[in-house]
Amino acid sequence: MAYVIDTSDRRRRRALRAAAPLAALLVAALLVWQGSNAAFSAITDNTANAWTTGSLTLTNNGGGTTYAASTTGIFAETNLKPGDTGAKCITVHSGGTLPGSLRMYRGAVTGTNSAALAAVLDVRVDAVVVSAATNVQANCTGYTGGTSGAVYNGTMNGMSTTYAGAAGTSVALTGGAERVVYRIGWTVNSSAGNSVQSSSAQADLVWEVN
Amino acid sequence: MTAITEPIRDEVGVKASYSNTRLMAGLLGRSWLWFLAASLAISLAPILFGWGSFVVVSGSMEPAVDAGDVIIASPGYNPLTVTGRVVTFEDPIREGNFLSHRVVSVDEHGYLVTRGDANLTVDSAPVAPEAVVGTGRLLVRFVGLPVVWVRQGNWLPLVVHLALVLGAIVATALDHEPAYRGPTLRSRISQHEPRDPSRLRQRAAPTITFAVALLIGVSSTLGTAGAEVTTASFTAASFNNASRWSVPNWSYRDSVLALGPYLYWKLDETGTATTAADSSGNGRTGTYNPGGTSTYFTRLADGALVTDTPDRAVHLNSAGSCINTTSTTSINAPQVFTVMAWFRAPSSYTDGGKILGFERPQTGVLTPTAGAYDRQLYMDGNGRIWFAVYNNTHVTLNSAAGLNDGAWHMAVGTQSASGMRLYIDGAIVGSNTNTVAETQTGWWRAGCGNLAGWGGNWGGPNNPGTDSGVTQNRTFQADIDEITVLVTALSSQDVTFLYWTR
Repeated sequence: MAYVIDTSDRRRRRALRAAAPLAALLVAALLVWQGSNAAFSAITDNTANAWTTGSLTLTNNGGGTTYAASTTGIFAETNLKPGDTGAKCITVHSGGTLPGSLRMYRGAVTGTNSAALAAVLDVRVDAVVVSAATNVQANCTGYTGGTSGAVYNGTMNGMSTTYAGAAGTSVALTGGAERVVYRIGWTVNSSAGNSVQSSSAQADLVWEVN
Repeated sequence: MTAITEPIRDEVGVKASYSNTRLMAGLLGRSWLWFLAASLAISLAPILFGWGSFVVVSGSMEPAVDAGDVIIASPGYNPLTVTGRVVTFEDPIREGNFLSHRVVSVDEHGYLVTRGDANLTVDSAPVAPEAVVGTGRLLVRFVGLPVVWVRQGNWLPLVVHLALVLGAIVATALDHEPAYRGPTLRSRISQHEPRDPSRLRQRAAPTITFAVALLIGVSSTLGTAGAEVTTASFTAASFNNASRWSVPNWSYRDSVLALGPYLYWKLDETGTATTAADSSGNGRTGTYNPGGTSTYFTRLADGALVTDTPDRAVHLNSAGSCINTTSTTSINAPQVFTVMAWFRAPSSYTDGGKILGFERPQTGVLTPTAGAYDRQLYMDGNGRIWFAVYNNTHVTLNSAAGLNDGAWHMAVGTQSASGMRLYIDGAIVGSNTNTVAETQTGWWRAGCGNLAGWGGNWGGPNNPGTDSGVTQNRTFQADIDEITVLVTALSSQDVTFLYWTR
């Protein structure tokens, strides 16, 4: 009887050794199948975001005190004429946990005769990184960045409309909660021609971190 | 049957010395190595068929795709079914990198709008069709983690990983049926072994294991470090929507009125009208002298302001034509004032003449003994504009010559505590520090007046001379428009702006 038992033991070990790779292959295949299904199925529900961990979030105060991802325009300048100028501040809050490069650009310029106006609307953007406790509102009280070292200085037309094109506005974020105060100055160039009569230019300002 | 009876003793001996721990360790090690090998094979095999294999190195596709996973992508994509799928594409932001994000929609240009599952916002730059490398088909979990560790310089897990692989190799190698031992059996073993295929397998197993282990050990660490990687880049955006700047349709007339003029003769009259309306609202009308007929005035339909309605002006036809203040009540001449007029004369016109000025008497001209005249804009024989006041001497500013060029021009003279300024077409052409003009009483007038004595401030023909003991009525026998007097001095910005609104 010992002979039978011994042989079966040996066979059992051999069988197990042979089965191990098969099981491993099966598990690997199952993992691939499951992962592919979960990630690449067209019906994947990606509405539940896990963005709270290891992610980037960005809000701005719209020149006020309430931070939101989307705020209403800080500028509503009417009855402009050549030489008119102004500036407002807006604070952008980064609540991410990853470092990144924060850039500012604009959306499409819309409005009546907008291209003509945007061509003579000079925009100067200065940026300064502040603590997450600092809130600078539209009137720029508390803004300490000065006006040297603009991250953008050109026309509204010339502002980039893409993150890639806005490399000049890059502000490095370290990954903790921090804020960047932007002072956005504008001037209707005094050399603006009469052709900008009856014009309006409307644009979204966008901050993006990557 | 000796072959059967003899191994019995031997089998018993083996059983007694073979531990279950050794067997279990061997099974685990085997499984682990085969698992790694299989994952690696699945990761790399599709490359043979022209598919792409990408190690994900960041986590914006969490939880579906983690850093360290390998995405296997089939080339291209189907625009009809791509929405909701994960595509790998050339990163529009970081050139030369690949990005794997989920397609949210296809925009009107056929570009793919993408988003990382863990991102709140869609990627700002839609992906051009030609930038798409492929559509994610297979996801091999974790197998690319060594690549991520290497890239991050995260050496501890890498060392642990290598140690585990090494451990698995050792455990696998140790777990095999030992060869027959004992001197009494040696002859029989050598006799039997070659004919027993199971023993061959037993000997071969460690060899295969080592080969696989070597493949995994090298490939999963250094080999795949050179594999193509794809980021699932974290991104976030914030918007300040619809900031707006607008320039209205500024009207010259409204802009002048906003500055509070003392009198404003637009000279828009038609027919034989004898009264020049005062648009200032102050009722300081003018009178077309000596009459409104075409003998004296031509009513022009092409005034200085093309955007104005009506856009009219007048041409002074005779040497006696003049537009005088209607009111017979004289006023004290102001020391702070602005005189502003539009004028047009052909290059053939070399007579010059007074465009706007303050003068006594109300109409006609008198020598300085009986009358007075300064605070004036006049053109000389060379088409030069002069802004002149009398402050015990002739104080003047002048433009360049040649404004008799057939085009409308705007002349503005101001005097205030900061001195005198002359602007042509909105641009300053001269200034001085004179703050005082002659103290006199009189009336404003346009288009004519005495210039006797101002010959020292004249260029070209038809000089009125320097003798102020005579009268030299010089009518500007050309076109004038938008006669305006203010008792404030306009700033250069005001003047520039007014000209701009023309």
